[in-house]
Amino acid sequence: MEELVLNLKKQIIEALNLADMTPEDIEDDAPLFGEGLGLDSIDALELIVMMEREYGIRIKDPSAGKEIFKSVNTMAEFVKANRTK
Amino acid sequence: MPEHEEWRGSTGGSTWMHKGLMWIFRCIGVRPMYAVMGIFVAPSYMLFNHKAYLSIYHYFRRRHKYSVWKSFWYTYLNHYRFGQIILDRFANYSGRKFDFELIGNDRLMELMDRPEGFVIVSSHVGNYEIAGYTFASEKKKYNALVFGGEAKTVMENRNRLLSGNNIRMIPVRDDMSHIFEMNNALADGDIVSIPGDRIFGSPKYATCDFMNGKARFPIGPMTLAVQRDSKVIAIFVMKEATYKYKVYIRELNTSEEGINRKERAMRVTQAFASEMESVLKEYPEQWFNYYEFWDGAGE
Repeated sequence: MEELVLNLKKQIIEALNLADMTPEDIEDDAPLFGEGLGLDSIDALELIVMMEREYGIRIKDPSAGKEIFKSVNTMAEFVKANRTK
Repeated sequence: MPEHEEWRGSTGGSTWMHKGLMWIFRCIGVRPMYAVMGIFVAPSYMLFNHKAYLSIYHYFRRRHKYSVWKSFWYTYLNHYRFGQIILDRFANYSGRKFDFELIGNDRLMELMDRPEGFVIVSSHVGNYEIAGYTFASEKKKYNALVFGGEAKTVMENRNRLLSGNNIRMIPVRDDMSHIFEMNNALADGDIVSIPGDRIFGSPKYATCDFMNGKARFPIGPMTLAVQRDSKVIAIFVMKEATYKYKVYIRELNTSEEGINRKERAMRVTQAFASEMESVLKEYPEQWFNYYEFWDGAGE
């Protein structure tokens, strides 16, 4: 799980082009949207596509998205349970 | 807060006014209503909505370089035209039929026949709403992103007109579920329609060269298209005569090689701004963004 969390952080940094950040700057439980990392809906789109490309996951229930992308930890739990690659 | 975010562009008037309008259209058609609107309503909007009036006056003076008097006259024409397109919408709701001349429809039909989804970019130029939903087909569902705060009657009538068609409204929501819905629609091979000239949802924008100045356009619609490698079509529905509209359908280039996705999205956004500019040169009075659209315009 720790490895997955670290990979996700690297992928978030790459997908969102957060060049001045390192994985250590992103806390496992910190909110990704609003406070915390301060991401917005376009960033959410980048993360949705990243999840599809890297893990073969398509989020079919739109209302579940906010919970899945709450933090790196919630993303990791979702990826662990649903990944197809 | 930038004015882009403040000015949502929802349809004005109360529910009973909208219903009354539709009753009148069923009985007498649009021409008498145009006359009433042109004599009383358009001038009163110019008098009492000073901020909107000024933004349009500046648009003619600074963007089209018209003289003072010509700008003033065109500002009136713009208000009159806007009144007409709103009345046409309700006439359409009440069952009145309009003619649409399609220019560039072949490419749209080609994209309809393909399995992949694509993005249609609309704008607050002309009257997209009166024809936009007719682009739904049996082959593809049409998903339109709409501002969640639109008036109840407008939403009810949209839903009534569209029920049974392959059309779905996706309101912008705070929980960002609209992003997931649009992404899924494209992945399913359907059409997603998004306004390309209004920054809402995400505050991210591209500063584009537009009508002799710099203006901010939302980057979201093109980011969605580029992320999914989808084709992008810009559609402008321009009023030509009482019951006639001309529909311009133009594809934007999304396939530039050797640049990253963000840069590609920026370039497609600029291509959209350039297409909109070419349409506005032909129909200068059909610009309906009633706020200072250009950077530094309010200074």
